[in-house]
Amino acid sequence: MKDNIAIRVEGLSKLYRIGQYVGTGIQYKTLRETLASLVYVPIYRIKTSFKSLLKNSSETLVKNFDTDKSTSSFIWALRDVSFEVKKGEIIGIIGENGAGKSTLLKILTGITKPTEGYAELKGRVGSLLEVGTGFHPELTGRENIYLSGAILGMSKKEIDRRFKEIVEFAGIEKFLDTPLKRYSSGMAVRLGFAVAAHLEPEILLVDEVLTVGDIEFQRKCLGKMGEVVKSGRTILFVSHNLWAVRNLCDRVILLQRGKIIKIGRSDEVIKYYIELNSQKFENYKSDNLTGNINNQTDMTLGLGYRILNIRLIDLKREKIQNFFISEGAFVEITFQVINNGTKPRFSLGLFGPHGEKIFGSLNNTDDLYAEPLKQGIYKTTCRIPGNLLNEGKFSISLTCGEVGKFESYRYDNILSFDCIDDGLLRGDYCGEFSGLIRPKLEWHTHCISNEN
Amino acid sequence: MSVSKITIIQTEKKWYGLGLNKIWQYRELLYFLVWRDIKIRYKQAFLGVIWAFMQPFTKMVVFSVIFGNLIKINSEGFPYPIFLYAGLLPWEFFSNAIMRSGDSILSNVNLITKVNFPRLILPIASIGTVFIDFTISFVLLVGMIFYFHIALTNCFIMIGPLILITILLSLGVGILFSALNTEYRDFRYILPFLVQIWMYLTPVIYPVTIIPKNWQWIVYLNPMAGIINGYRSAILGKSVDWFQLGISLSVATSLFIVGVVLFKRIEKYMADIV
Repeated sequence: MKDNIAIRVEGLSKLYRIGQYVGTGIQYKTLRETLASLVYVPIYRIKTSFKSLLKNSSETLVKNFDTDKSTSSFIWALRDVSFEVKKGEIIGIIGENGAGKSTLLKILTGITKPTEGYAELKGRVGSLLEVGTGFHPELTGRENIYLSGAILGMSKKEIDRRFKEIVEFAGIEKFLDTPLKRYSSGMAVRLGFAVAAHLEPEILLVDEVLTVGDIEFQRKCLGKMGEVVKSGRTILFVSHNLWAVRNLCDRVILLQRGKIIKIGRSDEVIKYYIELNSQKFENYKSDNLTGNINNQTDMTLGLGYRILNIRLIDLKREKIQNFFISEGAFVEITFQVINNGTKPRFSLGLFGPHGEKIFGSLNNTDDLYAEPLKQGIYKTTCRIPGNLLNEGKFSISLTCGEVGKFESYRYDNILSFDCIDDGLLRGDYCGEFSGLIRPKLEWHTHCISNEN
Repeated sequence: MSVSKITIIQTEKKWYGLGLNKIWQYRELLYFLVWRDIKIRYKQAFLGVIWAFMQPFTKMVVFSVIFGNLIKINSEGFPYPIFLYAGLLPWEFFSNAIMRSGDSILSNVNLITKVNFPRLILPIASIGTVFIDFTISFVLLVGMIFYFHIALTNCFIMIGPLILITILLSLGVGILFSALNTEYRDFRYILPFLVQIWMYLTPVIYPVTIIPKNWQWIVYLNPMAGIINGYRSAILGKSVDWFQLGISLSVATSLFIVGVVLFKRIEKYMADIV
């Protein structure tokens, strides 16, 4: 292996058998069945061979007891994955749930063996697949630090050396000698991460551990990861947090259903991934639901809130289907905040009768924009002013995201309405106004000279 | 330039030995796992010691009353309680050891699926607390030796090697059972039953002499039989039957090798099925 390569993966594949016999599926899961099959299989074999002798036909279907494919099926969690990582590089691994990211890390850590393929890692490997590995609730914080550190691969001397730093990072000086079962979940998570963060291997494999804890803690973790990054370690970083991946990683691997579908610079791959995802929602049309959002569509991928309803209402806050040009209307979005501290970001797009984009508007003039919202149900309204639009048919698209987060989800044609001319601004003009918008503009005349 | 460690991952077809050198590499983890179990067990130190004491003591009393006084099993000239206890003490160690190590994999699933280390460490570490319990109940044995005025002969030094053979057998059976437990989920429920029957097949409560002479060889197929008799010889001063011990030792060694081999085969896909 070339000198500057830290990790080399070639054709790595992992086959899982799903269904009745999970795992290798070669042996039965219970002793009782194995013993029973020891009796039945030879009897069955004798029966079928006897039958075929009698029938003289070669078409006897022998049901194979050992690998009964009729009751189980196979899935390739990883298929022919190959890549190289140079020393000191930070690689992000992204993909939807089930893409094979954790399986890849598990194989590289050595927890499970691949079905095919080969991997070589140069240097001491440390892996962070879970926060608080090995923690036991009956032991104190101090004892758990030693236990978890030993489990993660640190020697007693190393733990002694870094003990103070670990305690400071977690912020649990006062609770060192309290049993872990008395800790709040936040404290336990901080402690778990603190121990893991002070691992000093040459190659670090990290699996989505930054998704735990409150915002303050996440910031701290990202900071620590940044330090680790600067120290020249090779890191493989699996995460759903695309901001973190973008900021920390040099290159990114995108996995889908066990295969690498894109590998390259972080912003390129992340952009590709987002586009891939938003395409899923573009085909969503709500005309059959008249503005009501079907709760069965899971719209909370990666967002801390969920859209409950979106509708058009008038000045009296009543639901309307159409409105007069001069009155305008409100677009009301009802949503439920699921994660405390979510800062929703909405943008509305207005489209004409032929799908032409008229304008887009972001909710950053909202008082509560970029304010962390507590869990609960909220209504956001957007005022479409009167005397803006021309008469005609319009449709609205809603893009949902969060302040500070990269990904967003767009729902096209989520509302459609007619704008009706009430003639208030026409005066005596009975002609046609063309154009998509008909804003009320200020016209002003003054005399500049009184002479001829 | 320092040579850095290289890890190679591939689907291993060959079998590269028992892997005992890897365990030495991870000896600190082994120490910490034993330390963890001891800490948890003896968190409330006083209660932990009392419990280690209570179990064999209560059993000894109950069995002595039933089998010693009521049924009056022949105890070869020695007071029944000490005759019983000399056999009961090592049996308790063995049965607890194989139950604990048999369960060691399944009770540490969180480690198996998240951390890389030679899995053989788990059944080995689980014997740690069992050995501590053994040491505590050994104190009771010493007490009983004085109480019943048993004269100690130089056979007593056999206790050392006997303990080693017991440990070897416990490890072998424990590792074998932990592998079987992981592969076959219903084995867990067979185990306590198996251990109970095993106790009655071993001359713990009774001396071997109550079995007709030409059938006695069957009893010695059970490796614990020779070991228990060995303990009795060492403690009570009877002569040591080297032949029996030899059988036990060879069975213990073979079981150990079989257990480790089977374990290593299952270890490859343990994280997938656990």
